[in-house]
Amino acid sequence: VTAARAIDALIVAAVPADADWMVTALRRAAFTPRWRRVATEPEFVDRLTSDLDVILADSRLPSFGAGRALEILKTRDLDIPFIVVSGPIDEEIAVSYLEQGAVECLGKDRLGRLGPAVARALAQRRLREALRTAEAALHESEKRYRLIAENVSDGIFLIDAEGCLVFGNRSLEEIAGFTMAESLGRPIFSLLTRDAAVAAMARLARAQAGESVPRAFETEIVRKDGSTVWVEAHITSVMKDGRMTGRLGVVRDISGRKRAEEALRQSEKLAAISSLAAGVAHELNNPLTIITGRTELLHRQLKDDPLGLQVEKLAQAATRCTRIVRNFLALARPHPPERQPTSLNGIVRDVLELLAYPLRVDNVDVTFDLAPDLPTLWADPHQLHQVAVNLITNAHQAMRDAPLPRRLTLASRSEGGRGWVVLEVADTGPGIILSAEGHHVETAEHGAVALEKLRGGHYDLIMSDVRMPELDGPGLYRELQRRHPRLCRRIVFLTGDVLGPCRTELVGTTAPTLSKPFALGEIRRVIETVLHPEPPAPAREGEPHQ
Amino acid sequence: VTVRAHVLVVDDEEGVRDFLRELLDMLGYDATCTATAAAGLVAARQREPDAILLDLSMPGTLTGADALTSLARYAPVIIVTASVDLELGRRLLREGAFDYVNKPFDIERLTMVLAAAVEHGRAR
Repeated sequence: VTAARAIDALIVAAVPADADWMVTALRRAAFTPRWRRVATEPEFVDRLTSDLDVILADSRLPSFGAGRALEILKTRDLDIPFIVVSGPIDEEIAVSYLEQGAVECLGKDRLGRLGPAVARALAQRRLREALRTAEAALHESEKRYRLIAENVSDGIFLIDAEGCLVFGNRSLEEIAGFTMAESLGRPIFSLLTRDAAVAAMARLARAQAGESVPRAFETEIVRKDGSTVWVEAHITSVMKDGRMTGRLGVVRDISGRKRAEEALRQSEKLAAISSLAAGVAHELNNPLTIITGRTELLHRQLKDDPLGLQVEKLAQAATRCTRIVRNFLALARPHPPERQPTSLNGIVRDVLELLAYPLRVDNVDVTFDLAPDLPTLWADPHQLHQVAVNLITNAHQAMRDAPLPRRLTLASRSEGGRGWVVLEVADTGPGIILSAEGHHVETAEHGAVALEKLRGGHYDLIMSDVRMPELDGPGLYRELQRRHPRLCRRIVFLTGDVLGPCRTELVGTTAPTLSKPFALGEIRRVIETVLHPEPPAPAREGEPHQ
Repeated sequence: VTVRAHVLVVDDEEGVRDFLRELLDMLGYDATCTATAAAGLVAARQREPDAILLDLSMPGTLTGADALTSLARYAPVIIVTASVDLELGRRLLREGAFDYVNKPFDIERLTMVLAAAVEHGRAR
């Protein structure tokens, strides 16, 4: 063996001859020792440095021996193999040296074994060093990964083969709204919306079966507060011995992008619809010119003729068509968004002028309660105009089939404290319809008020808007689940989002929905389904009629 | 006997032309009707009108807006259009249109505007 065997040895021995024996033994074992002998504690302490490869100590020193030397070595953070070389000693004492940390205890008569003992000790030390280095490297890399995991804005998680959460970083907590303490061990699917969970389970099953599944997809998380957030997920399988042992995922919050996309889709759709409709309306103007013009001429000619009355009706209808087309074109014309000083009351009056005729035709009385001291708004008058038209048109349509009186109240007021200007559009809508049908109806302006009322009374049916301040429709539903589970099957949602996604899906209800505007027949049908969900059982004889 | 004023109607919709021809006759005007702007220019050269009712969107290479300046040399031009492009309307008024009437129009209003245009044309 010709390995580099130069070693630094510290020899603790009372007399030089003892040291010489040991050095000779080392040389015989092909070591080239650089060595120094110490005989006292101060000398030993002085020479005890980290570049030593081995300490060889005679056990029998008068003042300072192997035992004390071991004690001192132990107090230092040094990994130096310590070999005791002794005369004939008790096995017990030898064992005690080993217990104190000596790697070997040799008899002086067996110095031939010193070389191999040192070689073994050095090999073990190298192994320990390698382990320490590896541990330190592992610790470093773990620290690095932890640093990355905890500081990226993407959520990172690990699930086991069953899909249960094993690890999640801080960003995942933020995105999902759950702390890890709450969600560790939970199936990852329980964090998703129902549709998303079904898709995720299918994906996991395919991954477990060894099929390849798309690594990137979009999915929807339900946060602790019940709100949902769209994320883009990248998931890879963690494999061990050819088996999938888990899945590693990275999720990124894309709800902002989703909202923007949805808004864009909506506005593109609306733009397409309005330009198409504007084209149609425009085309209608030519034939309408002929119809209105000719009926007017006819009317003049038939003034005293009984047929004149019929022509007058024609003229009225034609005029109404003209107004509809004109109002429509005024709305459909796209305006680039532009803010300017705007009077809310002025807009309300303008819109009402535009819609006065159809409202009058349906016998809707309009009451104004406009605050005179309203501050001027810095807003886009065309958009506000559209908002007002939509609100009033919705109210109008809600009342169309309602019994008289049909009243539309338009109230504006300033909430100076909050810097708001408020426009309220109130109609005598479905409440009145239901009253007319013989039901007892109470109204609440939002979910929180509804809950108050529910606490104090008995109700058979709840009709709830989806979007409301304070507590919205889905929020109300969740509260019902908690407080009045019986009423969960007695709720009907009213929604105005014909084009948008229906929010009731998000709370996972199968509650029926009515799209505004709704016809009387539709309301009757839905009430019937909700109040009498089962097909009527055959009447039994002898049972009293209610 | 007063000479009946002459009104040139340029409109591609036959129904509208027929109606305007009858209306103008009832109102005491002589009417010449053409279906294109180009034909309108020819007709205006042949018999100078006292007022012109001009549609904007018409088939052919020449739109009403293109023909406006040329036609306005003969008589006051009233734009009669189904378009609700207010910008275009404003531009045409700046470019010399006498007035702007939206289809479908109110007969009273058209009668008044036409009378004013004829009077204006005769005065100049």
